[in-house]
Amino acid sequence: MLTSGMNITTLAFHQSRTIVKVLCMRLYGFFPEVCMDTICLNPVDEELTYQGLFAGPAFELLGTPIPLYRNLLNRLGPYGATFKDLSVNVATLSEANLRCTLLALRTSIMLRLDRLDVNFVRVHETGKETAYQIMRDCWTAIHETEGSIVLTEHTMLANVVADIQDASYAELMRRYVTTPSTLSEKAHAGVAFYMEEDLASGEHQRHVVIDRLAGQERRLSLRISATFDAHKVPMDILAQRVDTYMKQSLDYLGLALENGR
Amino acid sequence: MEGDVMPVLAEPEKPEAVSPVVEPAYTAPPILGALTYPATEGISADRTFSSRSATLHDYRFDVGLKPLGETVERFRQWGAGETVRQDDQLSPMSTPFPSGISAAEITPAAEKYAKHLGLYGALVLTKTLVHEQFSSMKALTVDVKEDPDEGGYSTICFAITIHESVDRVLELEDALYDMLYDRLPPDALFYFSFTYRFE
Repeated sequence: MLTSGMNITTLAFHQSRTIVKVLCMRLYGFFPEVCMDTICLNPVDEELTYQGLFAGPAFELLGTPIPLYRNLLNRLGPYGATFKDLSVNVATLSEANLRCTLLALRTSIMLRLDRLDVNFVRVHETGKETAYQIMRDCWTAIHETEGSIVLTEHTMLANVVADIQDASYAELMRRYVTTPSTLSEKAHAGVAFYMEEDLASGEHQRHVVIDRLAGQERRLSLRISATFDAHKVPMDILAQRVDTYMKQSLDYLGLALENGR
Repeated sequence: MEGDVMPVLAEPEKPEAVSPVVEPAYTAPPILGALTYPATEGISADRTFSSRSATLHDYRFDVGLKPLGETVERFRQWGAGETVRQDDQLSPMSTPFPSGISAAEITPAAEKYAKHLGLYGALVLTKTLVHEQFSSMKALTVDVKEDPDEGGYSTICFAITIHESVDRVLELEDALYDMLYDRLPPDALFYFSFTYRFE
């Protein structure tokens, strides 16, 4: 409804903002209230690391690896996995592992007795959704092979190198840190935020680290990590929770990764 | 100084000459999927799989399973990759394309555009799904296609050459889209397109 002082443009703005807010709430479960101060970051390199800890050693998996081979190939075949990409090393019990490398996607998967490690080196190129799907497919292959294996926690770590849009690194840092006057004006700061644990929702060990890249005034290194209780955050909703956590954490700091990546 | 003795370094032992391994006569490989692994009393396999090779055509596959040090199964395959393809049970989706993406099929422009969009993983997956769905196709080329009617809106176009009837292709395309909606991130669907060349 039009009110005094509100023209068509502002009405359109309010309507579009409402639509965006509804979409945000539906997609991410929150809406960033502080929009004006948001600094956009354009990722130029992004690495994602997943680690899923088992409740107990998975002797069955590595002791009889052929069923796991079959299931992994079936699940990861669509991403280019073949026999050449798989190898098992059980020479030393403590370091026993099965490794799969998806070269085209710059992805390595390593199953150990106590955990599953998946490393995606170039997520900004291959896509986060694909990375999440590969994680789910790995877990499905494991579970198809040995149904008794239980995950206790997931840890996600994102390493991002990003261009800062419309600001320099020093300007960005001044939002969080006042450099002591005894230091040179050219001294750089880095900052780490260790977030409060949210045990009710199963999130802990959450942190965001913003660091400089030497000699690159408009670029930064960003590390975002969190651990999720697998009992409260099962694998099928992990991706959504990770995305929400990352967006929310950055939003609190007045940052946003471009294209929502 | 008198009495000092220059240390004499022992001459390193010469390594034994490496001689080529002579493989036994080739025998038809059994199906790996049917290979039964004997009950082991703990993990004692000193080497199970080694599928690394210098070249694709020298592909070789070793299995040496040793419960408590005793070799109970030894299995070797070697050849030109066809040994893998003989076993459909193991990797039905990956067997036709063991080397992943072929550079001849995806143009550098398409690869670059997909990476720019963060959809390269989706491209790899789509390529496999296309191969799976259009198993009778003669060729597949993936390239960037610009649509001038849409203001230069570019898509990653999968050009499929196939010897089938139009009705059959439409049927296959429906099935393909069902799989794509199920497996691909929503963003990718906006950027992927498909064209058909009928032989």
